[in-house]
Amino acid sequence: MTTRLPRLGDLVLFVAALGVGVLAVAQLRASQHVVSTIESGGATTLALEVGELTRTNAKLRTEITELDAERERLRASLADTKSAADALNTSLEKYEVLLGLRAVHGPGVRMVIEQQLDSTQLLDLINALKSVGVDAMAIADDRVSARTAISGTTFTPPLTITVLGDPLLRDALIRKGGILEQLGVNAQVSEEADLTIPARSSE
Amino acid sequence: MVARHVRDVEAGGSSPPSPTISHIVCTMHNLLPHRIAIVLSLIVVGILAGLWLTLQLRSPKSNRVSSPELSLASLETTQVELTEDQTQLKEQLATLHRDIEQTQRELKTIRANREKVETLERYRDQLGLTEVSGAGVVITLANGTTGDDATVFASDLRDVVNTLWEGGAEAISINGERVVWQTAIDALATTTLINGTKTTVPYVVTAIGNNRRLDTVLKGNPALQDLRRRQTQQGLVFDVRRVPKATAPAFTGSLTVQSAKTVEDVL
Repeated sequence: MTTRLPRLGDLVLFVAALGVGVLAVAQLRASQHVVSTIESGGATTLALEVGELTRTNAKLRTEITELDAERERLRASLADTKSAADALNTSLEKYEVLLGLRAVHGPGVRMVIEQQLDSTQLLDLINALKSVGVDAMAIADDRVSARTAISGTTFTPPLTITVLGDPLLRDALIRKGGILEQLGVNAQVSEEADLTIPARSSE
Repeated sequence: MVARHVRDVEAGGSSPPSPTISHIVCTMHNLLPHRIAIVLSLIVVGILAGLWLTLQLRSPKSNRVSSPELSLASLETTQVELTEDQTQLKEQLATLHRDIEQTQRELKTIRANREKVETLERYRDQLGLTEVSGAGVVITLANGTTGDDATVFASDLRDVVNTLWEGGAEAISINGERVVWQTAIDALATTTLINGTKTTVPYVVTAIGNNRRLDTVLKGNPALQDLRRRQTQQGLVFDVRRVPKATAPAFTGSLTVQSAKTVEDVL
């Protein structure tokens, strides 16, 4: 048996096989990366959804507790005219606040927008604030209600928006990646210990 | 392959100088398995070497866990459980609202309470706590077929709702979720959250009000021009129908006042 030097054809074959091996690992790693990216995206969406559900369910439980108390107050008042008036007044007050029929005060946020806004930006801003949680809101001292429509094309600065509601409102507005940054809006945001928001001027 | 093997055999010098055809065939027969074995060995060794080299070169150190494992399965289970919880909580709320309405009706029979109860009933209507039926428009929004712009976004729903309020709508609902004062319409990946409840395309927006006026404002509002463009160019569905009778269901979420106090309290 004689020892022969490897021929060029054999070398080419070996290098090609080597290349196949390298590509196989690269392909495997790339597909693993894609799968993990997709799974991670799905997990993020699910985590956001779980967060929202948790928050909404907590609000629903609070509402159930409040309505349960309201129901008991009203039932107890069936036999007592004085307590009936008190129970009805408590319900009336809550509904009047929600409808914007009563001026309200409390810890809140004042925002002075220093640039021109178009109506869609203002609409998005109001929606984002509602998403965090608002008790009452006024734009240029005009109380916002359910049926307030944002009409017109632009709003000229300075535009003042006052909000009472969730303690996280200010952070949600000014944090990095928050509401104002997403909208690309410049605004001075200040927290006020006792802010007053007027009642609606008309029905 | 046969010709190449013939050339290999000749180059090897082990065959006689003037081989006959039968001799060549005989030699091929003897050497073919040996040659195939060499070729196969080269391929296998080459691939294995490639795999080994790549694994060595591209994995200088072992992977470490850098963040707590977020179990997709566990999240999915939690999401399903919380959604079921939400449905039950909304049912409880609906029952409470019915009980309160019933008790208020009973209180109304007492003359001293009548005016207050009637005011409360009016407020409940205005807040969206009661079902509303009447003439109106039914709008269907659904994704088109071509391009990213063919998707219906949460912002489109906000624009449509704002336009409907502008047109004097008395009540609005989207896929059965009543739009009230604290309603937010937000995007969550490919779905939308309305009143914190997930919903998805197709979106059916029901608005109660003067249907001619609502139809006119939907056609003329510049804020909906982009939606119209995508309807024409991307096949997005934006269908508006005037109807003699439609129903917006009662709101079944939470309408809470967290910290605001009425001004009269401190005066």
